[in-house]
Amino acid sequence: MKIDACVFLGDSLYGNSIGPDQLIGELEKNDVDVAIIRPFKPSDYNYDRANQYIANVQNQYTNIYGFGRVNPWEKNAPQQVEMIYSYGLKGLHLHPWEDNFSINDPVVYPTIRMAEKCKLPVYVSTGYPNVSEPLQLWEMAMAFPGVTFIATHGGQLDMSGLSFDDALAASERAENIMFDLSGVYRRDFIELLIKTAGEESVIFGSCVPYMDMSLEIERIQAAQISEEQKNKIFAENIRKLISI
Amino acid sequence: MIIDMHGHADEYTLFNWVDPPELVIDLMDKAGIDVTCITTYGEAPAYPGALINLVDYVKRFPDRLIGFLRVDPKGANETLRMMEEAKKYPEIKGIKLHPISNLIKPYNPFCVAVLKKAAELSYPVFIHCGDGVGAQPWEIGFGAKASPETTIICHMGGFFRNDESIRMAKACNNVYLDTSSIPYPQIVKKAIDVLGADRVVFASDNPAGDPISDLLKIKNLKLDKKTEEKILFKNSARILGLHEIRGQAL
Repeated sequence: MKIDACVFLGDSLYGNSIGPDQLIGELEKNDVDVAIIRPFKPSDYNYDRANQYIANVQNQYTNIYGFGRVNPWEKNAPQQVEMIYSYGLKGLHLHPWEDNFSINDPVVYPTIRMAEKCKLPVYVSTGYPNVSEPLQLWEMAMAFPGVTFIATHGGQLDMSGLSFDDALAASERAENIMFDLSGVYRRDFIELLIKTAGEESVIFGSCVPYMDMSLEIERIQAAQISEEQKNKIFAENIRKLISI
Repeated sequence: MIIDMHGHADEYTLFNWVDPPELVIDLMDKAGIDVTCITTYGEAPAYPGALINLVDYVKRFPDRLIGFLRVDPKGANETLRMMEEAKKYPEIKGIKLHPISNLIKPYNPFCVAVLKKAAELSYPVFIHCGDGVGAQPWEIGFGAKASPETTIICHMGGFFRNDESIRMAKACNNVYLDTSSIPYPQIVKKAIDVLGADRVVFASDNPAGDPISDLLKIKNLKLDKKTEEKILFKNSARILGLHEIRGQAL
């Protein structure tokens, strides 16, 4: 069983839109059973409309689940989170880089507070310079210990490796951060993160279409870890988190 | 036939960076890679292992490993002397620079002196290239332009500066791009399309990177055979002046 916990779907401001048919093709090609989708930044900047689209797709497919997305700068962001919950979506996705906020900025607190009230996990596009570096996410996670955060990219996007230690330090110091492995091409870091964060806290998320699903799978397959650990990473951990 | 242009081996206990050459060979065997160019984690001249360990490792696996001496340009004349010393060892065929590690930008006069000395000694130079200040594409491009006689190989710009690295290489004929250290197969394809198949070389950053998935990154592109051969070994063999690999003539 494989669950891809991070796929972007729908209309994209950045010209890389994909639809459900394309996604289903990718899932079949890569032997992935389930995808968890969320909106791109839409070309009309209307996240509520994009969230409704994601909810519709979730309702049409038995193997697709959705997260909603908001921009915390919008005054009604908490209300939009409440709508995400009412649409039956499984979590909230925040993208500090695309929506120009720091993940540890107090402007984000009302959004997170509402996610906590609705019991929605918060997926964060992490590792982006100055807005979502590992210790910035750690600070937010400490402010909301009742919320489970999921960091993309193993918490860092630093090909020189200088942020690896920060991601590991965050994982040691905050029990409420999970990590997906999208774009983590460093074999050694994947193994270290599993060891440090714990095998229950690492998941498979491809970040398609920004990343390549087949390579994201292959890197986890190549890691020097047990089959039991791989099963947890590929499916069990996220399945438990969002109860599917 | 496959040559991996970039890997590491060292036993740099001070920072607990211990990756013996046996680990590199094991991963090469699993991926089906014939030869890997390795460099240490420590830098000459301050770290003696940069030369001693490197020569020892290549001697242990002479038909599988090729040494790239990692140097710190801040060593100035002593660095240049070490490069000359390296020339006495046929195990060493190139130089490695890591500006994030030694904090000397590629266009800094200390580094340009290294680039020029490398050209004088017929050494290609592998430079770490990514998002961080010190090793960004145009910082390498300015160095490449300051020493056009030097053959430079570098990564494709990390997570954010991929197109920039391709534009830089397009503007600097002495720069080759390697395929490691990025998660984007489509960028490798773009580099081949823009620069031509002669200017891209396969690498995996073994053992930090995983050679199996890095190789898959190339295979999944389904390149024509001639292009794939250039990427996987012919370009690297030309840069390194190799005429045979593991007893097989090229």
